[in-house]
Amino acid sequence: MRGMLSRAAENIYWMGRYVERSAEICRMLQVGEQLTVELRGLSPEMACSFWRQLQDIYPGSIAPDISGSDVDEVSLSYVWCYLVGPGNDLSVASSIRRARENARAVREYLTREVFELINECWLQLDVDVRSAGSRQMAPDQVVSRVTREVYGISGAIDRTFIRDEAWLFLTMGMMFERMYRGLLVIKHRLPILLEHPADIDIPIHHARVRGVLRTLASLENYRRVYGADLNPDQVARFLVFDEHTPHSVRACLGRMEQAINILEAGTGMSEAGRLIGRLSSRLRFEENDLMAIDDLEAVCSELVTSVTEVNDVLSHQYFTT
Amino acid sequence: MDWKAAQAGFDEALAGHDSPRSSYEPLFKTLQGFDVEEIARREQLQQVSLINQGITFTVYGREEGVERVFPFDFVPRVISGAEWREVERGLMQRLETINLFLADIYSDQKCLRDGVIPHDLVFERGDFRREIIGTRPRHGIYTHVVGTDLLRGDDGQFLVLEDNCRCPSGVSYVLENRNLLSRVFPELFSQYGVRPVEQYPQMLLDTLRFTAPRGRENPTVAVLTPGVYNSAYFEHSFLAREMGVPLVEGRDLIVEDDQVYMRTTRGKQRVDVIYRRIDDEYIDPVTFDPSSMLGVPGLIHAWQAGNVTIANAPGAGVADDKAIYPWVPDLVKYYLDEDIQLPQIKTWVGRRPDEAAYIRDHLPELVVKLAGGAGGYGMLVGPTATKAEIADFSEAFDKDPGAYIAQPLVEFSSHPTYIDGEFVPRRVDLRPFALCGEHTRILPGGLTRVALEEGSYVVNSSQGGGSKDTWILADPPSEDRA
Repeated sequence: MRGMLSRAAENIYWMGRYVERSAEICRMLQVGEQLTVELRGLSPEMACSFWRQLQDIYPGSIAPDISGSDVDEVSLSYVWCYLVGPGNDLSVASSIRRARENARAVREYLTREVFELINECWLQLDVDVRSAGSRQMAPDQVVSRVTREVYGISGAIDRTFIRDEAWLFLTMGMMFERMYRGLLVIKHRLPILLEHPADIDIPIHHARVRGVLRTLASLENYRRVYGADLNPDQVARFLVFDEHTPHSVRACLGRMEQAINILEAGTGMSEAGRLIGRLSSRLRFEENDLMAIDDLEAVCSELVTSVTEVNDVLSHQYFTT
Repeated sequence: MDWKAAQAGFDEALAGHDSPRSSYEPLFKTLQGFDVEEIARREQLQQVSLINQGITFTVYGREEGVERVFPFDFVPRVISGAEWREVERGLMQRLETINLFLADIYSDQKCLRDGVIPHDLVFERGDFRREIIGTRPRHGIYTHVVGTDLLRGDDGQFLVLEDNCRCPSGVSYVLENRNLLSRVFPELFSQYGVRPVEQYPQMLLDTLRFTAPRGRENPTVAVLTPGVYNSAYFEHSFLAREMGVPLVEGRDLIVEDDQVYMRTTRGKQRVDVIYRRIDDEYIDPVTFDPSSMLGVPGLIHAWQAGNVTIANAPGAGVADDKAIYPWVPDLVKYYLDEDIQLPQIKTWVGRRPDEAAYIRDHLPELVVKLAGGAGGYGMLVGPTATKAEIADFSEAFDKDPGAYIAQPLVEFSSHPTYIDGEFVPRRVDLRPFALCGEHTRILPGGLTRVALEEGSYVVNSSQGGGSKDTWILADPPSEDRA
């Protein structure tokens, strides 16, 4: 396999991360809106806390300046902020803009279809950003549209890209973002659901568990494997260790491992390859040990540290040569 | 729909008030079949396509520049095969002369010693690079890619306005315009045999590979760009993509032991040919502008050592300096012993005191340009300028008359252009692209730029110009080509 420019590899890796990130944020916003509707009358403070936790899942993002407890107001403010919020580097608009900037910098590595879909997505979103001040657009419609467009971009990548180094870095970028963000969702949303207080309100509890699964595009997949039984421990195992559902940590890491193995075939294993391989083995063989720790948050924290190291080593090894 | 003929100058499409020239008859007939709504629908399609594909250029003025679509007019320009052969012959002669001239002034300087062109004129040019005297590029080719701007005079004869021997841009629009027109207005092609232009990237790659340093069997070619904020970034990216070669920035390249390498995911990889789209002064901070952040330290030394080809070669820009232009017919005679085939425009040179006086006295009648300028900046179009503009310009001129040249206002030819529901005449020029490698080849087409504003002569994209597809017609099988 031919090498590619280090700068271009970095651009394309980040393009993948931003494309994936925009889809993840969109899904998060859709789940949040639905939870808000479901919980508004039952537990508005729980709905508000869903939104306020976004900063834990998107560290470094700028939350809206809202201190009230009106759930609709809180919900709308967060949706705006994470959709087109000015100055919020972790909004959908910012992610698409950066995906497009990276795509533009490596256009010679992209197919026409992929570039045009990213460009179109940004151009439409740019119009939305400009009109955001007047709040004339319907945010839910924009979120739905962007979600569809990002699926279109992913489809174009899958159907039109040659499987060369550029594709491997793109895949690793997308998988890393999905895995990293998924771990943060699990870490901040699931542990509390693993507790079983006596006065648990089952409908609310289930709504929240469903919310976590839907945030990680895994609700239907979970049901196909386990049916309607929303056992939080089972949900945690599914989202972290399942081999087949595309948003599980293990599945994402598995695809990164495949990519790095192809990338490094015949050249000897690098530090990045070793790290990914080691982490992948843990998820394959230590599921019961890790779950026996009975501290999902701590396990997730440790995994977040490990995957962050993967990102750093990849960057050092391939992008700064 | 009505077609309005040009009030002044040569009309490319209409022979009389409303009768099309024979080469335009089928086109007119086809276009008459469209109503305003249908054209509007297709123009909308065209615009959306340009925007979505990101076919843009960057306008400076803000910190990071603003991306704009280069306006495209769908009425194609038609040039007969016979006319094109004349252009080709003239351009080939010109290109051969330019390369001989460059080889001469950077080696023996025979033309200077023989008094064909004043030596101080050459040495004073900012683009004359003393640093490279004595360096002979591979095959003696200095300017591999040339875009020569042509006009048609009142009689329809093509005239050379200027050469662009450094980093001529626009060829990506030639290819994209053709692509766009054939998708959005396919009917227009039905009555014509239009020579294709899609082969340009292959032609360019062949040219670049041919000039690779000796002994490089499968040379690595790269396009060197200043980066995404450059006005022509779309083109740099387009050419790299179409040739299937990397698009590199200065920071991607390093020079070690006079060899040039690019930083790749698999370590350093040698680069053999660089198609640079960065001006000389920024290309190597060691040899030229030390403050340049865009260039590659040591690149010129690697080139002088014969380890890398830079296309176009450093120093080639002196040949397209507007102050050299008046001497090109003499240079053709000197090097080739031929008369110039494509005529030029009468030019006064500010460095000659008597001609400077003439220019100063006739500013309202002349087009005066900075000899080293480009893009329409630092230019006065006397006949359309206000008194205040002329006064301001006169002041600038008096400070440094030697920096200017002047020409009479040559009435550009006009071409029907669709604006606000009407076919109206707008001024056009033509930039054909020539490649100098194993053979000199001219792309059968070119960038027709059009001044979209009524009465305007400024065709530059940065100042309100647009472009058209340019059709060179294939000769009918029966045509006598003797």
